[in-house]
Amino acid sequence: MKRSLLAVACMLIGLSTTNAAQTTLNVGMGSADAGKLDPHLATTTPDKGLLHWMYNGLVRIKPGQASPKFIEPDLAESWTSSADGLTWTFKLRKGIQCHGKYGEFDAEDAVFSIQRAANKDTSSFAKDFGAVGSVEATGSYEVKITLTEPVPSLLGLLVPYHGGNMVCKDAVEDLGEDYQRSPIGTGPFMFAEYQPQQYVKLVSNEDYFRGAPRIKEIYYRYIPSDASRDLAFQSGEIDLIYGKQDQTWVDRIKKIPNTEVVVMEPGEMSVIHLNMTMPPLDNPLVRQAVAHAINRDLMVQFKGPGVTRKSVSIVPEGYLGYTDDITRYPHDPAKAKALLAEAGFPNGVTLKTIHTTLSGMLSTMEAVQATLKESGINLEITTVEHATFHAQIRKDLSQVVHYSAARFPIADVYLTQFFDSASIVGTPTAVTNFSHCNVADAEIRAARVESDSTKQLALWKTAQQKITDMVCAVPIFQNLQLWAWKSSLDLGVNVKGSLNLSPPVTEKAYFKN
Amino acid sequence: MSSFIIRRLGFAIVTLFAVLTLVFFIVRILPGDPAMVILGDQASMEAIDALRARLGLDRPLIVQYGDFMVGVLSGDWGTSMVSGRPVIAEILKVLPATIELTLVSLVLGALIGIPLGIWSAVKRNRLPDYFTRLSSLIGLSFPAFVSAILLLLVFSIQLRWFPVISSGQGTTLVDRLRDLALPAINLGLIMAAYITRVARSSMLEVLGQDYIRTARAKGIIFSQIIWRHCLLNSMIPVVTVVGLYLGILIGNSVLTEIVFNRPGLGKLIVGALNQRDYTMLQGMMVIYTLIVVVVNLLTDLTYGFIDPRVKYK
Repeated sequence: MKRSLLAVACMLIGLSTTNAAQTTLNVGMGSADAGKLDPHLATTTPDKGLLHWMYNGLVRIKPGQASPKFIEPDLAESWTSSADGLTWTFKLRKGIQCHGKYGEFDAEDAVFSIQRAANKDTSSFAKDFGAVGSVEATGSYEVKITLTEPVPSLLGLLVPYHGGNMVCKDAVEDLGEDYQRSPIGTGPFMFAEYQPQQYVKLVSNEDYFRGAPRIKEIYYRYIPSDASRDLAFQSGEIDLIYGKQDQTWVDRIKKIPNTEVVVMEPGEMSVIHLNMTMPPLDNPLVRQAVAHAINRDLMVQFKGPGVTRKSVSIVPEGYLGYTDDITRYPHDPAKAKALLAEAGFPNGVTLKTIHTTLSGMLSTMEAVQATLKESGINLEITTVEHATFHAQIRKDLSQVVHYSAARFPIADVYLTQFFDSASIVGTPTAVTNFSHCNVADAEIRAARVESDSTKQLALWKTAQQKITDMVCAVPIFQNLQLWAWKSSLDLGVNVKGSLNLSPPVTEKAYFKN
Repeated sequence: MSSFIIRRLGFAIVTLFAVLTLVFFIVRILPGDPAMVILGDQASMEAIDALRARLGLDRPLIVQYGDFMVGVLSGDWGTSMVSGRPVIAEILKVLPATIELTLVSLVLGALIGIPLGIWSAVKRNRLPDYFTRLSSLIGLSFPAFVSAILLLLVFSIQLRWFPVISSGQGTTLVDRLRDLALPAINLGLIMAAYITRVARSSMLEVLGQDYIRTARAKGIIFSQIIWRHCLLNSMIPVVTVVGLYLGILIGNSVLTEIVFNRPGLGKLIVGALNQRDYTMLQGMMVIYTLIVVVVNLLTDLTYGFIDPRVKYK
């Protein structure tokens, strides 16, 4: 009896071996489950990160980078555009295979993909493709896109991110509703299995046109509890881990032997939007006072200088069109008080905000609250759960809105979504203009169709200057993306950033012995 | 007896109906729109409205309610708004894992709690009693997720006996046991703490009864008194408590499933709530209500077996 008990115990202990042959990559993602695995519908960080490894675009940003400066060929080997910028022709590579039994990727698939991305019934990003007039196949491997107005950032729409992911027509039509849970692309890794609340398994695409991946299997595991995820990394069950945007996380994870911690672009920028139609914020002096009252240096210290970057403009640093040559509002409580007094509030003001309970965002807002207090600005925070927060700020219920976001890194996207009057919340064309800002519409709209890049940069700069002068919003800092992996994992590229917010796991990634 | 069961079943159906009606409306009062949660914060209002229409959320509330009730009665619980799969299929997929976890913890809790409670009562106001009372108090006041992390630190990180994340791929019995061990111990200890306290006080009450004094006066050996006369009589309140605390156990299983990354009803309901998956939430509530109603019914029936004084009319 004793002996058999011992045997059972040995089995229990003995079986806890790790993967001996390291061709399997275990990833720990901080979410409870997959959302949509259809690349034209997926908008959440966990979904985008996973899809990143399965899809290609016509062009791509060089792996490891996040800036559109690094655009290079992907499924298209070359492209040309007409002088007026309205017609673009892409020549596709030959012999690219869709995952599974769906055959060669050709012009018909590319046309189908772009039309699908531009259709609001099948895409969350339809609006981004608003200027696409027609897409046609002008040969088996040639695609022509005709625009209704010039879009200088057209290539940016065609990288494998959001609507730019190229899908295979036969797969979408064959799978129907199931497509959103069984993605078929052309990338280095193929979808193999989905276990609800557990993992998505990918396998290598041996026919990948850049060569067969060296990693053969990826388990993308959903581990919502931060503590369990960190412990699983520590125990070696996970090779690549999604981090909390927090200095303490970096400091803790760095202590685990043989660990690389990577701080990646793009940053999610925290911006405090001030509703310019609600008193007392309808008074520009009060808004200026808020800008002077917030201590950005302190905020960066508080969040951790290794993981955050101070913000200057309302467009995040690193985005095409960003400028730091702009009016600044240095921390100055005395000046803030004077401005308030001048505006007729010698005893200070009280502002109200509805805020999410998400801890990372909430701690930022509480720190803002503390720095505002020194200048006589009393910020009352009402916390609600995250989905409620999103619903309520879109109903204009919050005077002050703290929004943290990363977008496609071109100034136009941030300016249009947050500061064009067409995007004001509560209107039929609403996006996320919480401040009701309308001071730079002319520049934002002109820049969008300007084909001369120097003029375009000048327009974006003027727009940023005008919005900053009117203090529609106060930028605080950028939170960079944090990931860590075992030193034995070599991704084969130098990782500075990733548009999809997950490190590039390509055909080059492998485990060192 | 059978008329009692029929009456209890009728009562259960009324309860179910009331709960479902409440759930339907409470879920819809919750701010936050499923279409927006699904499409994300960058989607346009146009796209959100289109999805709302596709999900049928633009129809009058009363029509949606009618459809839902007819659906539940006819066994069609709809499809998840997020995954697009039948709600019943998603629930049935994870239900066995939660039942397994709950039952194993319950058994573990009873195996630890009942003997400890009795021992504590018999040794009243002596060292074993103090020890038991203190440890059950600690067990009661410890949040389930804290004890879960402590277990992981000791048994997974230090000793490396069990995995931090349930693989979910376990096909052999050993693999399944390794996945189950820590979560079951975590919940089992909490359950043991409750059971210990009830078993102790109930045992003390029985020990103070006249017939026990009589038995002792007749010179029957104390241990025989405990086994023959006290044990079964003191178990009635324990059964009640086990039934009642099953709800608490299910509540704690939510935290336990999340920390141990174990698929189950708890993880499913938290996900559904975050994503405002109305149909899934409704389906989950049907299941939870059914579990509670059935457990209560079974608890009542169990009384009859262990206490002959209870008569069903």
